[in-house]
Amino acid sequence: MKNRVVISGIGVVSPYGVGIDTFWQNISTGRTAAKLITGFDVTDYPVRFAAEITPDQFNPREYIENKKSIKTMSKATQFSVVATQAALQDARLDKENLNKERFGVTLGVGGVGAVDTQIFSEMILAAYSPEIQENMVDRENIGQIARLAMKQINPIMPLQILPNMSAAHIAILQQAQGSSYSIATACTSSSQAIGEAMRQIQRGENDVVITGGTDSMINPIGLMGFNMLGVLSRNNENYLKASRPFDSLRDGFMLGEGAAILTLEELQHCLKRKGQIYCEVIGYASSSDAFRLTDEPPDGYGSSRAMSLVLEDANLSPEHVDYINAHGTSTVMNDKTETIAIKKVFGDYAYKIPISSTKSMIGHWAAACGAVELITSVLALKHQLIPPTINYEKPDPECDLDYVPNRARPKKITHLLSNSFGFGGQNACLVIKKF
Amino acid sequence: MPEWPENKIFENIKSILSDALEVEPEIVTPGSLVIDELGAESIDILDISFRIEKTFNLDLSNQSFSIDSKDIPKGKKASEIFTVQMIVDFVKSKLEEAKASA
Repeated sequence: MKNRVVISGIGVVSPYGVGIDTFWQNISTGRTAAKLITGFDVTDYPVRFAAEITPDQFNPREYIENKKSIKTMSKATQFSVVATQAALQDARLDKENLNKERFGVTLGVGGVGAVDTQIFSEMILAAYSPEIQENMVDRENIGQIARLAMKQINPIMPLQILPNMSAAHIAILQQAQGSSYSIATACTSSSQAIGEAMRQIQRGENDVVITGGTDSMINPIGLMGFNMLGVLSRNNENYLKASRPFDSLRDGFMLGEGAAILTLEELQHCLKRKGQIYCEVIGYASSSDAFRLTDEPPDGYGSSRAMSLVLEDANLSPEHVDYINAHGTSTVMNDKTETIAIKKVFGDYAYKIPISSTKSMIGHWAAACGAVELITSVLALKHQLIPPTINYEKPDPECDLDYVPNRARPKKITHLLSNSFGFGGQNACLVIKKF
Repeated sequence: MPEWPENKIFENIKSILSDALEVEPEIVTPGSLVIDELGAESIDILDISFRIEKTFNLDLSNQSFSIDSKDIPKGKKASEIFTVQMIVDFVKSKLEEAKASA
């Protein structure tokens, strides 16, 4: 008999600011978090907007008690540490009601996303400093450049880059001495992290797991990379409406950033301590397209199989699903293929399910998108209100389902499915249920 | 090569320690224990060495201030005798070496 798993706390650092209340207030009223990027000079960039977290919205020194630890944290790690504090506070979980050896961390993390602007600029500047230029014998010799740059870079820098550092900081600060995992499967990372956290509790390995994800790709390298792959919207003139999933004028996604953290808890553990229960996590499934790095198979066989498997895992028939929080990136390919995959799994019923993409408002948080979208789903369930897909103006004949255009919709929701797909072809789906 | 009077060395190290360890400058005295009182861990020692290299224009080439085990009194741990003054003395000796070889 598997243990049952509930969500007992949520926390978010988002481009609306810190906290769940401001997040839901904006999401449920269809307000975009799009901004012109101010964190670095974007003058020459083809893309100059994103759902950025600005310094006036988030100052780590305001939230992180151990000030000394901040210097070893990338921006993504700072977000995750603060979102974790909020989630634990929300769940009212502390040292008193936790067995720290059965208290784990499983996070979805980015790759280069862990490297923020400052670290990269320091490395580049170091490589071009007079000391290095003078001593450099061979410009092609990367080993030599690294050896010389080493003297210019603070030795704490490598610790900011390691992908497991967010989970490590969280474990240290919260004394979570159970298992710790970091999952890096691009935009599927945090959905898989939540799914794997659920499995750990089902199997009885942990009582409570801090899970979710964090990423911060709004930096020169991240923006350059996504832009070079041709996946970002370049609608600078009308950036407030650039992210428009399922709309026929969509031309790519808007980058977003942040951390979304949930506490997953074994049901009896939560009941015993009289903790709050947002909902139950009843299904998780994952699959791989094994097709191409950045293309999805046109018939969506990988993503549809993940959706079929998650229904099986949750022991639900398609008609039980009351809302789908789509991956819905606002790229031409994703939204079309996701629509095909949903139809493949849900048949005629696909036309009756409200589907929305909150990326229309908060952008694409890369490794953290699945987690923030699950939190959105948790709140939709709590408030019995489906957040909209904003900027939906001109229907695309190839995307012909109900995308809850522009306005939130009240609805009786019991079961809810969240999709995440990533570069590399990984697919993950989660199902939550009203408790 | 600039001259470094001892009080200047101490003042600079005080601000390095205060920045690296996020402690109030007032609590950094020559007698403060770097690990036990000011809260340094391994990574901070690397950070402090790096800041010392930059501030005093020294090349420590990965040789950090360390305490020889034979200098640790019986029954004591290194963290119980590692003071700010030891860093000051270390920097002073490195500055003198650099001056001699210049």
